[in-house]
Amino acid sequence: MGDQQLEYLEFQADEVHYLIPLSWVDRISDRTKKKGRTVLIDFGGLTSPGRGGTQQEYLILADEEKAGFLADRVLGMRTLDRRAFISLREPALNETNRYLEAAVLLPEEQEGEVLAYVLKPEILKERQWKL
Amino acid sequence: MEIIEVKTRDRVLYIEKEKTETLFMNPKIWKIPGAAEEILGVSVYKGRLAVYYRLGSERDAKCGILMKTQSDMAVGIAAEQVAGEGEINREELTEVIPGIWERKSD
Repeated sequence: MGDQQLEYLEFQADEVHYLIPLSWVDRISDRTKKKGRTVLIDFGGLTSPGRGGTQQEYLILADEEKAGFLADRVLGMRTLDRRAFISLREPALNETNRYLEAAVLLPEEQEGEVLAYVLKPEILKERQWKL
Repeated sequence: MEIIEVKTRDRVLYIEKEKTETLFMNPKIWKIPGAAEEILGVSVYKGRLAVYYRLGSERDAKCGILMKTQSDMAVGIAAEQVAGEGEINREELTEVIPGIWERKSD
């Protein structure tokens, strides 16, 4: 794989697609198997306040299972070229969401293409996995 | 100044024509996690990101209006209807975001 090629796990929460670097992923679990020390990261609750994370079935565990990303669907691996990344800036970004490294358009069978956000988990880790 | 009048679900806005980059139908607008309340979402237009301000319409709006910017990211609004074009006195208006105006409420 070239320097520009990186592997990600794609997941969906509240209709929004996310890409987490595969190197951060420990395993995927059923959310009911959550361990007490795992901090839940609920993007669905962030993009639709009040929705809550209870409908989300999957947990993507990261950082030695200290963090668990809630997901409606886990869509599989994607190998991406960094040159396809589209930079995000203010006003899309602010002090709270700088964990979004970039956006990227992904081809999709049903929707033509979909915008996905590339996550920078180290930013979330610095904040003890709080959104 | 020359304007394009557009209607969102609950506002009438006047878009400065010379600052308008494009107007197009059925924009695909995605949510931005953690964005400020005033931000409706983002779309991709000719390889650039376009950020939409929330000025009355939602992500299923019928048209998108993007403004010219110096940066590599466009900004714009979503609206339901283009109501017409014309000239309007700047003094009757107040600027909501650069290039997008509405009538002063007195």
